[in-house]
Amino acid sequence: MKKIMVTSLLLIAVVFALPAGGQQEADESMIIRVAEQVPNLLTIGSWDGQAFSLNGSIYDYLVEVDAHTGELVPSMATGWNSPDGIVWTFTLRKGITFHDGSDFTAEDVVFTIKRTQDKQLGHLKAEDFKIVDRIIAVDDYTVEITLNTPNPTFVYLLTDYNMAMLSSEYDYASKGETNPMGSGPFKLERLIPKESAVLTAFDNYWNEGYPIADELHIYFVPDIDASVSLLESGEVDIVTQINPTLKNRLEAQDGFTVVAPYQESRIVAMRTDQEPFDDNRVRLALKYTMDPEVLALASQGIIGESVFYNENPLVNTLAQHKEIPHRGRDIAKAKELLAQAGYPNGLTVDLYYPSDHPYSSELAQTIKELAAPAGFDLKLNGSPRDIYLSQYWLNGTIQLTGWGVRVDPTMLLRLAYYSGAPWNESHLSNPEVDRLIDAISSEVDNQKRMEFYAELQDVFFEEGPIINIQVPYLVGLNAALSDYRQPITMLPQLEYASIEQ
Amino acid sequence: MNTFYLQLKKSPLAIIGLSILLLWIFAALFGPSLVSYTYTEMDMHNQLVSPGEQGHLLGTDALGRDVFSRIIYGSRTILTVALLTSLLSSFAGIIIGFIAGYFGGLVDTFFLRIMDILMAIPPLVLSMVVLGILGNSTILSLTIIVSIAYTPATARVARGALLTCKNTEYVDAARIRGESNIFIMFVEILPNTIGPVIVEITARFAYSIMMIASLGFLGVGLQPPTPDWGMMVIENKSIIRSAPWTVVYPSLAIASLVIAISLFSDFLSKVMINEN
Repeated sequence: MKKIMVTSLLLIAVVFALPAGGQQEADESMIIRVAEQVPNLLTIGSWDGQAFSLNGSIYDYLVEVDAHTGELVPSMATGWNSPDGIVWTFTLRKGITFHDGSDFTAEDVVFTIKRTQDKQLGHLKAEDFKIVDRIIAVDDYTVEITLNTPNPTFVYLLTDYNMAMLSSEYDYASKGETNPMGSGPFKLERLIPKESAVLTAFDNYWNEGYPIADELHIYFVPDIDASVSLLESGEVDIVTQINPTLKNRLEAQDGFTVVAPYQESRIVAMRTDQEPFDDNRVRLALKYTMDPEVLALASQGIIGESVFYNENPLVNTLAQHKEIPHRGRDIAKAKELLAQAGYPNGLTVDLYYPSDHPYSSELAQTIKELAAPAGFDLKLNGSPRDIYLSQYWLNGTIQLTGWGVRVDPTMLLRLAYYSGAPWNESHLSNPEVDRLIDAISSEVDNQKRMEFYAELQDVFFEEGPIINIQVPYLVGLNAALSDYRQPITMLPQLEYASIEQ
Repeated sequence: MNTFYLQLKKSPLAIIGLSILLLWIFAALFGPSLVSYTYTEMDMHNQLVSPGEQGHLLGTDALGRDVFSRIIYGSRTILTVALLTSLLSSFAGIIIGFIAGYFGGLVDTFFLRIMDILMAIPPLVLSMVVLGILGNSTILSLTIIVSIAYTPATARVARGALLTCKNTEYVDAARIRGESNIFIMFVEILPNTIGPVIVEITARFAYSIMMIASLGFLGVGLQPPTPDWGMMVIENKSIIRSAPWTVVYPSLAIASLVIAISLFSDFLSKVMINEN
């Protein structure tokens, strides 16, 4: 009997001790949990700019943007210089290793940049890096890039999310999507497509002391309301890209904060190679119906404070922005322009937009209402973002799309407004615009470059195919999370983030 | 017809159902000329106003649109689609069910198996997939697709009703007279099975409303700014706590209409089927 009692007591003790021990261990590791809306994990190069937390944590870049100051800061490169904008010399940081243990050297930079011109890959930065004439590894830690035309802002191109530094020894073609490998602060432990990803801190990360967290759990939750519910119930700590309604909801409760790291664009693009918007008078007519103040209210913001409006690709917060007074809402003028263009009785056209993207549905409905009195019958055609991007985007006569901002505006200009650019949603082919984009890219003198920018914005004001509504990019956070950084490159720098347990 | 009124008088639930239904039909027909806002009018300076304030009886949504007006306008689309759907699916169902039941044998097996295949896919899933592929839902595409999804069920009911009359003497008599098959099916048998058929049409009507509201809720229904009740619920579901009126009233509208039709259809089934 005694024996039995002792044994059972021992057993009970063991049973109680086990979970306690397990609990303690779990408490020691700091886990940050993120809800991402889009599960697209795409190979660097063809990455369409989603699932930033995941790719952004696995990979690293030559240069980065400081989240607080917006300045360029060294990352994998410790220094760069170019006396003439033609020959660029980058000095690389020593002692960086990739997750597979291989060293990061000049060869990897050469590989990554040459890869942009790989025809088979269809690299999204192909156009940008066409200007690279020659790239050589001077030694293991020095790269010399010679351009065929001066480009004083070339270094900014390396902050683009598709320009993560890749290992020349790794097979990205077959493993890029299933087992991505970089030199970033976290390495991929396991990935369940369309469900979740677990990342662990990379012990040999070059930036000593970082990452602070031990693990990063990323959940792919397509529904934004569900994501915020997960945040409210304590299942996740970060929800990216929420809408203003959810912001208000989170702010009304204790324990959550909402940050707006930067502004992003909602661009109404009119196709210039098709009726009716091939006629500038129709484009102008639509612009004359817009009311920035109403558009801001529809985005639950205030014009000039949290929401901005212009009619060119440059967001108002950029230094290159030129203040052009709004043309004022003028329905009579819009009607007159439509009549001149041959539409005295107005016109009907489908407006395509991603219905589940923050701000888009509200803005689409407001634009429809604003444009209606002049005779525009915009038939709304919204679909979930993945369907929108794969089926309608780039094909619609008029469309409303979310655009991120680029540190250097030429990156966006070359991607979307240069003749034949890959993401040219307005199918713009304007020699004057092309000339100015070329001039901006190659002008060494800062003052002159600013003048070209101003000229470009005037051209867009007069005959451009877009309306650019700028709204805050919102991220919902658990209040226990500190130092969430996300600069204008759109890449969260989760190595700095930490959470109180 | 007289017994119908007598029965109705005795059934308070049916009276409630019928009154609510008539109220909604009235709202759909004349409501839009009675409300003071259109369904798209945006009063940007009065976003999310609570019910009763600033002249908005049921408040406004996040874009400053009057919830009451949207519900009233919304009754038009939902009643139109639901009515068309129930008629179309019953029409198709009766034809298929009658042909299958009347001819029997291989014809019966052929149609029944097709209906079985369609019935194996839940109507909501079937509609969602088809609408998702088509991309752009209009009142027409919505009507046709929901009708197709509901046809197998009505076909089965019609076939069952026909089978009970198929071997009656008046059918034999018609056959001996040399009437055509179509005549026998639709002139001799149909009037005698009208009870279950009408009950089926009204029940389908209620189901269609649920289906259209569900499709709107799931985001594959009509496109905004059409004031679709289901879409109104989903559009505002994230603010259910701070602005409950934007969700509660459209939900109540859906519920009241469906319950009203169900009550009335229950009553109809009692009267029409028992009569026969």
